[in-house]
Amino acid sequence: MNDGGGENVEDSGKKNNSGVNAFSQAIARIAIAQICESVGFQGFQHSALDALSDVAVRYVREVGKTADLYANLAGRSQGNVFDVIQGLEDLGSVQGFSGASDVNRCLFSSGTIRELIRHVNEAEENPFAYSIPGFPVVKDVKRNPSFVQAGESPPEHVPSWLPVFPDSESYSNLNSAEKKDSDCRNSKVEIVEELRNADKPLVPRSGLGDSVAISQENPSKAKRVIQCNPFLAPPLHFGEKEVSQVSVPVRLSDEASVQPQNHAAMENQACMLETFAPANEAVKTAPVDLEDGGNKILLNTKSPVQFRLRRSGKPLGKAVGLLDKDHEDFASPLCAENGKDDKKRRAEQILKESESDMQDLPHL
Amino acid sequence: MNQSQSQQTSEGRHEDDTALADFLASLMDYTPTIPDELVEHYLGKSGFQCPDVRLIRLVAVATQKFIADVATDALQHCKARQSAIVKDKRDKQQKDKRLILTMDDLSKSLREYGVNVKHQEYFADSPSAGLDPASREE
Repeated sequence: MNDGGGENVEDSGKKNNSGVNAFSQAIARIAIAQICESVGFQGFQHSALDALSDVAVRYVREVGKTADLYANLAGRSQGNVFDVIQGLEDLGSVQGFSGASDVNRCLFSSGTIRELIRHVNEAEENPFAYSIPGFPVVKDVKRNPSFVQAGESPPEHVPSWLPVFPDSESYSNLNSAEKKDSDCRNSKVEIVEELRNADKPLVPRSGLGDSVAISQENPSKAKRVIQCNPFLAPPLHFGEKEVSQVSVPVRLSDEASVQPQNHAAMENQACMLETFAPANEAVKTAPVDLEDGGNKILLNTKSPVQFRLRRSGKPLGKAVGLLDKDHEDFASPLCAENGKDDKKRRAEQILKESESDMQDLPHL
Repeated sequence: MNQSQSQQTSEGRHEDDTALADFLASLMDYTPTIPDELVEHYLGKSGFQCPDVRLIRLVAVATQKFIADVATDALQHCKARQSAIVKDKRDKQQKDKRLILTMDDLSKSLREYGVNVKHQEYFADSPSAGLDPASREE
């Protein structure tokens, strides 16, 4: 008979969630159904069973309420038998019980108790069909021990009664995750550099003597291009715009040993160049403009074209690679975009390398 | 005369005292249909704190008796209604022979105990719905 305990009673008021209510209501339904069955019923409407179980629950609560009232009236916090008997008498006063008219009656000889005794003696014992655990279950919250309890010495700015730090793995993993992230970013930057290296041969192939030096200057200048807003730049003159168009024949003529009229010699080159026209132009426009005394206006006007070509044809990685560390804030979203089609970019890179090799062959 | 009466009452009180003590002691061996945990839960909800199992069982037995009384009354109502129906229609005798706790009977019997429950007018609840759990429990 260790069912009761009664320790849970104090805690039961804390948890008033629907799960406990649903559970207790379901149990009440089963118990009431058992009682009805023992009385002689063979079936029931669900609504009737619900109503009757609700009445039973209210009865229990009402008994508890009145018993608690009488206990408090007597100056006690815990009830005893007499409080319960008085509560039962209160609830039975609608029906009436024997001896109710006697004001000075003793609670021992209460009619309700006598009826109860008779009922217990007559009715056969019909225990509950299922074994139920004690509810509501009160979880023991396991808290982290404090520095004092764990026997650790906290850092000097932390009071010793505060809970200890979590295991070092829990936050060292975070660092490694960050490192991994940065590694990933580094690898992306490497890929971008590779891409830029793959593009580089295009520039010296233009045949200009000082193109190597220009290509080295290129990143810093191109950076300035991105820095300045091209839409705010002053408009171009007609003559200045011609420069980029001139550059293509210059290159071809250089490759064809300074003979622009010799079309037959450069047919192979031309068809190859046509396929790379947008890319070549994108690369070439900047150095050629730089040749003309580094005209900033020209650069600014050319930059939108440059941008668009890189976006469509070449990966954005080049623009990113041109940026310095100061512009990583600007670069990171581009990197993130690039990350989506990593495979695509690698495939393009391989294709480009093979094509550049092919283009190298006629040079040799 | 007065002395004899008082003596009788004192003896009666003594008897009642022992009867109550015996009853409470017998509750330790009696398992009510309403489980202790349920009663304890609801008693605690209503503010009644008691570590004694016997008191909880006392409340459980009282509730059981109350419900049994209500159910017995409802059963009588049900039987009376069925006998009235059987007089009218012999055909439905087989169908209605099962004793089913309906809302009508329950509201009638509960009214005598001071609980006013009314059957919802258009609430459709099939009486056969409760048959399966009842037969399962059997």
